[in-house]
Amino acid sequence: MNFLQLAWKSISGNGLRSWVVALSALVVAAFALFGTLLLRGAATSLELAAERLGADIVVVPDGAQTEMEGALLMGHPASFWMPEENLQKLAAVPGVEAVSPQVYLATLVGAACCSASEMFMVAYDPQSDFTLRPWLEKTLPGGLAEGEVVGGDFISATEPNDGILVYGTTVRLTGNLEPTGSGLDQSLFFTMDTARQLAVSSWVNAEEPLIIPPDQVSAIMVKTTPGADVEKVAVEILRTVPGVFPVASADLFQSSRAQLKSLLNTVVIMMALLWPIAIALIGMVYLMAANERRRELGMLRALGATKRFIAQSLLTEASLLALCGAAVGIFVAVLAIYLFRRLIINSLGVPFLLPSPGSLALQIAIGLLLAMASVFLAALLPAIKVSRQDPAVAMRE
Amino acid sequence: MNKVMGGLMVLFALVLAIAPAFTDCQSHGKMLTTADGRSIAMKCHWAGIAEIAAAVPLGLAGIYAMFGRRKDTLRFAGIVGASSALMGILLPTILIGTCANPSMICNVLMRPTLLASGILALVSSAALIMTAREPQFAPAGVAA
Repeated sequence: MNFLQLAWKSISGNGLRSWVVALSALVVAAFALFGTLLLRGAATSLELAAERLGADIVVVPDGAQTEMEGALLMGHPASFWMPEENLQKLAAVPGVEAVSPQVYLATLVGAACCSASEMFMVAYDPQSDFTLRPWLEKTLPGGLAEGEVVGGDFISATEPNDGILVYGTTVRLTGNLEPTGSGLDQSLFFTMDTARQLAVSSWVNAEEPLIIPPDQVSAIMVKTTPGADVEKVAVEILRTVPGVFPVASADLFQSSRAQLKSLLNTVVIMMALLWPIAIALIGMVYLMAANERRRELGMLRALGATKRFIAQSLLTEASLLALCGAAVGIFVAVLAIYLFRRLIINSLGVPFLLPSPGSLALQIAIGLLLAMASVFLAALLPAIKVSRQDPAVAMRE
Repeated sequence: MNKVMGGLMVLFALVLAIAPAFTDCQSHGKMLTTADGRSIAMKCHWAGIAEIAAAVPLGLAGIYAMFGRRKDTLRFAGIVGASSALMGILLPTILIGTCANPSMICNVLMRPTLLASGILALVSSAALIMTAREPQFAPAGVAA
């Protein structure tokens, strides 16, 4: 009988002990992986959403910062306006290279004239736009014509011929953008001309008209000149253009970043509590098992088994249990995060994007190693102690 | 092992049967209004009702697994459990489905709960079938 067979016999012969050790490894692996996937998924999504915006500074009406972040990150419909003349004022600020307006709209709630309820919509100016164009060019090299729209990753056509009903008018969905895990995935993008066309036809076709105040825009995207200090340009905008608030790209989504930081602290604290408890519990279980099995192991030593053989069999037993427990824990964590990601996004108020297969494999490997290392560490001391005992003394006790 | 797997199967059967009552759109006051003004339940509600038909054999198989001793009985319980769990997965995904809007409560909560329970019940049933396998080698003296 080799030490692997001995370990397997010991596992199958001690049901309760095996379950306790495997469950401890399961909890450590599942919690570590769930926490890591959640935090990394949220951080990646935040970065992607900021990158998708593509502006160095987003200028919104003063007081509308939170609403703007809620719209862009969580897809909550937003409506705020500022004079279009701010475009010229902003373009004149030193360090500003380009400006482009955007109008934020939303479909009606539970109305038959709209395919989706409370859908966030962004109208952009194709002549001056520099934020959406790079993304649109990947899917639509020719750009969007009047009556055409492009959707986030979740948007799908609900009417024949790729149609979506918006304020009683059917617009054509020409493509979808890459997923970001943020509210942009459930938003619709079209040109200002399409927005105006929808506003005009909505007076006849929709339950309520779509109102776009004349000479007003919701936000202005600002691109700074190469080498310009973005923070200084933002301060200059705040000083020279009244009634607006500039948000530098590094400061975007501050509330979500703060939420993420508190989440990270919670995960770290929980892990700091959980890990030593799991190691202590497994250590205690193995210490008890080693004491229980003193005579049995003493007999093995008397029959010629070496100290190394005894220690190896105990550590193999621990590693096998850790591997099984961690594998189940990892499966449960991945399943939970994959299936419940929308619930997590809604409950925590942070965007979330599933990691790429490569990144997921790496995180799974780390979770598995962590759980196995925990059990190995916990079982090491009892294994050494029991392997060093004198067989004659052990069998007499 | 069969007692643990049986217990898990009963637990997941209870989740499959009960969870839709609290997580479908109707339980959150969302219903379809027809042209004549009547309110009717959306398809997630019917998927939830149909789940009971998958949960009952799964639960019974779990009880059999908990108290059965013969390998044949355990294997049969595992096969019934796996088939029912598979049905529990297919009902809200392919056979009936849930509401179209991905942000509705049935898609956010009911569907993931049913899928998670179905997948875990499937794994438990598969583990039960594996543990109830006949020995690979015939006992000494039986071989021809």
